[in-house]
Amino acid sequence: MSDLFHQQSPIVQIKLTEPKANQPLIREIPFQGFLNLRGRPNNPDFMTAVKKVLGCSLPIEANTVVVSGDYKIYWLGPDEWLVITPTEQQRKVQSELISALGVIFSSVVDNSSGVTIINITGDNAANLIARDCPLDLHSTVFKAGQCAQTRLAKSGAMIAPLLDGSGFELIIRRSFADYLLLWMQDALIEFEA
Amino acid sequence: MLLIECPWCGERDESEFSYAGEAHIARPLETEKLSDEEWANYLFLRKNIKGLHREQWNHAAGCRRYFNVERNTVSYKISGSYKIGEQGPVGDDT
Amino acid sequence: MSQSFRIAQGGRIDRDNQLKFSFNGKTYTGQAGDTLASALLANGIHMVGRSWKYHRPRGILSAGAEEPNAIFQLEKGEKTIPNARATQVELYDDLDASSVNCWPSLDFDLLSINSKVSRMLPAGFYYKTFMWPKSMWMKYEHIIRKASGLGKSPEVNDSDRYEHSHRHCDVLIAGGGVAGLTAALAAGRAGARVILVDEQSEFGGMALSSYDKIDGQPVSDWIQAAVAELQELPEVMLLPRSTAYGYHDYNFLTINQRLTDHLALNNRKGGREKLWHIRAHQVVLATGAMERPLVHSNNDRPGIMLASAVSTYVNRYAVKPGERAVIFTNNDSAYQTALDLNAAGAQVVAVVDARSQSSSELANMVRSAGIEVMNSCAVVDTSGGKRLQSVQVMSLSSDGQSVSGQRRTLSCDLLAVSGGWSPVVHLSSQSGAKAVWNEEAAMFIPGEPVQQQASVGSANGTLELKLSLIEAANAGNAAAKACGFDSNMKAPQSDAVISDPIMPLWLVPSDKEKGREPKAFIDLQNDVGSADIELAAREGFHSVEHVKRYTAMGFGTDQGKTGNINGMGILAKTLNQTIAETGTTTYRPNYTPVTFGSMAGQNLGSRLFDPARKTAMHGWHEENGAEFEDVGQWKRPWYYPKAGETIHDAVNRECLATRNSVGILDASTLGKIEIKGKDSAQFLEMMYTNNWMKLPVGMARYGFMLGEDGMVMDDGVTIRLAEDHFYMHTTSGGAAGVLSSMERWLQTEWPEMEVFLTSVTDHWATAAVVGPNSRKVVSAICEGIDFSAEAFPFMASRVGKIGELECRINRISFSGELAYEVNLPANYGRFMWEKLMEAGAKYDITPYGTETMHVLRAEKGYVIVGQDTDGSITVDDLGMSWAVSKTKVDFLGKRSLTRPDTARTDRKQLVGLLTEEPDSVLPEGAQLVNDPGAATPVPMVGHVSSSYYSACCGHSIAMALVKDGRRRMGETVYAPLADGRVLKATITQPLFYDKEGAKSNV
Ligand SMILES: [Zn+2]
Repeated sequence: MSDLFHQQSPIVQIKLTEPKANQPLIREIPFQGFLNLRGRPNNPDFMTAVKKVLGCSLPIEANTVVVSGDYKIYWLGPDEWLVITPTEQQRKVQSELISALGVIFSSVVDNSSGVTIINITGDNAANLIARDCPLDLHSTVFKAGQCAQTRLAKSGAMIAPLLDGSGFELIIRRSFADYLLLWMQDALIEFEA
Repeated sequence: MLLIECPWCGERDESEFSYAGEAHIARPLETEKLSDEEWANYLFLRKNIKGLHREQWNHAAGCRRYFNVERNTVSYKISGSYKIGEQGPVGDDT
Repeated sequence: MSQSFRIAQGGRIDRDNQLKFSFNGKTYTGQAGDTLASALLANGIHMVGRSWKYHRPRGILSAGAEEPNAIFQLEKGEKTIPNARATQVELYDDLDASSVNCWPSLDFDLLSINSKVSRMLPAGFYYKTFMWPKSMWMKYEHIIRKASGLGKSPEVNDSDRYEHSHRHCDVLIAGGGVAGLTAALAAGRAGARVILVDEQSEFGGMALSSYDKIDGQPVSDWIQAAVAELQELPEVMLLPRSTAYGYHDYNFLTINQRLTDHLALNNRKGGREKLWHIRAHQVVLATGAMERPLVHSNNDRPGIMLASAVSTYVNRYAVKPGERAVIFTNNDSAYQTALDLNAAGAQVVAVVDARSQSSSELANMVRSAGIEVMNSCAVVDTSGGKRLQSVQVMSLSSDGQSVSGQRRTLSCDLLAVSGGWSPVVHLSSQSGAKAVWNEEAAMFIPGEPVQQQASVGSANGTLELKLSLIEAANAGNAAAKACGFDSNMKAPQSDAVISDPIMPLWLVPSDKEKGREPKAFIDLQNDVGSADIELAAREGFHSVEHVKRYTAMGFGTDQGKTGNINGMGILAKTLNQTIAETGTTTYRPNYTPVTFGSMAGQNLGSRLFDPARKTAMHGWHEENGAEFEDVGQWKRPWYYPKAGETIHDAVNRECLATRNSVGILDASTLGKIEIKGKDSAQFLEMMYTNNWMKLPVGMARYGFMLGEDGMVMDDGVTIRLAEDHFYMHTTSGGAAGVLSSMERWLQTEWPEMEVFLTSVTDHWATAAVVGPNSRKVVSAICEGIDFSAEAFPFMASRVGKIGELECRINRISFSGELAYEVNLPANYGRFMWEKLMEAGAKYDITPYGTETMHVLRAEKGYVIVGQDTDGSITVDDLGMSWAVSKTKVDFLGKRSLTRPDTARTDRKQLVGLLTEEPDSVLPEGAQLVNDPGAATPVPMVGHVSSSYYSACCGHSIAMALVKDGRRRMGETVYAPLADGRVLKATITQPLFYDKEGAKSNV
């Protein structure tokens, strides 16, 4: 799709630099497909229809992530999930979900431009986030496969440990992204030395 | 700073939540049939309990669910959280 | 003079590393490892300031956080620190310190005259005298402030950086003395996540000043090994130079760590302090105990120090605080001080002991050293000016109530006092536990814990080392077990010491006639004496809390750490009751003062104080010179000035260009919520005041949302996308509140409704293209939509394509013009905006901001919720009852509309105002009156809510809320302004432009 070329990330005004000394690495994973999916998990028709499209069951356990091929599905609430797809598959998955769900009480909403992903990796990744986040990020309590929506600085974020243990994935709202990146850049100063 | 248990997400810091006032105030069904006084009771009057208080909280920065908490307004001790529609805990009044 | 009081050997100072510092402008030297206080004492300096009220000379009293006197201003300019405690300031090279409470200088103090007239300055003096007459208070306050012992607040911005961090742990231990270290070893070895917090630069606490033995080795070796082991444990975090100053609910503690204060200014890098927010499963408080002074006449002279502080200066800092010392005590611990001084080569004249006998091993060692022990004696008075010269000793009765016999004068330059020990129960008390008075030990000990917490060691009243270690090991084991770790560490061993019991002595009797005795001070920082407490009691203040407020006892920067318990003892005695009957002592955060910098952290300045939410087109607005306005947290373009334009020039140009051709506004900030499910229309019927069931698919409707009180809460346009699918707009500022309010109704009141809400505010970028040429501009870039007036009427919504991208176009208007809102996913927001600018170039498309938006809507009388409403305005007040269904059975707030006050017909109503002078613009917020000449208070009839100059109308326009306004068309109101002008205006309909609505209907 040629028009993909016209996309701009929410943090287009931020210049990310190479980490110095003990600074963690901050990188955006821009332009993913984000679908907000709602439905009642106690409705087997809903669960089956979704499974047919995504190839896996929706995570029912609170604050967990399920990976299915190219898709990642995050628990957002007892009847709400975030489905992340590669950019070019978002429209396809969205329309397949809508048609598979038909009249079943559900909602599939494109939020691809509404959020972006920031990965923070390196030794001080947790320490950077913990500067203003009340979540316990310790590896014994917050493990790969878990996720949590929480407060981050004066905004919020969905945070999940990266599967390889190198750090964290943060999903943040577009309109707050610039602020949060400014906050992170200021936070990096602590790890400069 | 309270530590509040979201019935779905577990214990989280108070700063993730927003307060939504006294719980178990059902909206009257046929509002037109209420006297001004009955409507004012629903609208304005709250118990303002000293002791065990049932109140609504919203996990605003988390799963966005509303739920109920029983909290002692003197000691701030929370006896438990429960989902809307569930029976709450019976906390001891200390 | 160069450190002439430095002891030749011993101590924990670095003798090879000499440091320079300046005190009140004079240069001295000290050693690395010194505190500012120990360095001053090494130079023979005791007098460090003057007292708050009487300006009496005061000296260093303590060696820790309790210090009331040695309060200094450090450094100057952007690095200045007010009220630093010299006893806790680590010495660094070129440190600059000055006394805070003397004016104009330490040696020559104008206000020491207060001391001579002290009988005229009793408790409550400031309240009683300076509060009357009230009009003079401002003047008095100025002088009192100058004279009082408060540091100077900085006059320039603090140049330092302050860090914040959150942590969770299994066991938090406050206090890194031997008890804290022991508890940390027990929990840490078991594998628990442990955080050990200590105030000092080195772990070890009081033991650093002693020659005790643990497990057969010198205590300093044991400490070193313990710290080394803890450092190796991966789940243990050590926080030195950190004060746990706040213990809040649910084991949430706030800890301030000083990162660079111990370094020379030019060696400091990174943040100055770090505020830790720690949530712990279990807390062990090992905060130690503080020694109390004894309250006798003239007990405040420089050279009078706490006995334990004397030992600390001798043993830890290798400083001799005096050459000829007298010890005055009511318990055993000060005997150690006598031995320490003796070993350091100072002459110990005598130990004056209030108790009739002292026969412990320690006391006998003192006697064996040839030091005179005077039992059943008390120091009744002292002499000296800026330094103690002698003390007067008399015999004390066995009940401690009277003195008798001859005054015996002992010449000395140091009086080391011990009135017993007060466990540092501050954190325990903050945690909600009520401190309990222990009569036998004469101390408040921590009460029954109310959180997951235990106190150990001297913080728990267990002063003896052996028992303290056992208690600490047990608490560490128990805390780790409570967190699921198997922990059974044995306590480190120490020899048992048997002491004689303390004899409580709250006020040493004077041999002088009652009321004629010299002052005996309780609170040295606030100059509260025993007589002040007695006076307060006589005047009817019986509660400790009242006495504290009346006398100011405990209200200094030291919060009465040395004085409060003595004060309570004296109050109890005055009221003839026990201390337990007198009350408990309650401590609140903060334990020691915390800098504003630490509290604020980096949440400062335009970037981080509050989030700035930005739209996808923000960069374009910046590049094109927009000035921004804050709307909620959003940054919205306010206007786009061209070179040389004022805001008025720019807004006039933007308004005219939009009305005459086409303008473009970034409308992305409006809240957007998708509503999906078969009950969606039913749900909207409840949320909005008007009808939604019959809205056709593809059409939009404007609606008001009310609170249950019937007042306007939000407004916006909602589109029906499908039978069961709506797309709601909220105000920019109200988006989050509307969503959570709707969720609340769905989740808590109507869970059976099949409705899902999803916020898409951030997903869509929205450009409003407004003006007669808007159709040409939008249709030029958008395919797949028939833009004809018939096919795409007002309040319709259509889906089309911009290039390959699906866009949504809504024909809605907030200006009265033909207008379209163009929506693309925000990643394409700037692309969309630039395409519209390009397509609009031939019509001279003009970007406009919120100011022009406001003018355009006000010309049409459209309201802004939150500007023309304030939470007390109904839809009818706005003159828009057409938007309220008369047929619906129910909607939120409906029942309130018939309440008598809401149904009144003479409420404040929205009207237009035209000023007599067409060019004068009424200030928004201006109050309106009918008769500006009426006697004050002039009755106010309303206020201006929106007011602008309208270039399109050629005169100013305003909207106002005026009592009974709709019945007052054509009448005159006046706006008296702060500058003395009175503007006259005529009440009109709130509609000033295109009254027939022809312009949007094309
Ligand atoms: Zn939750």
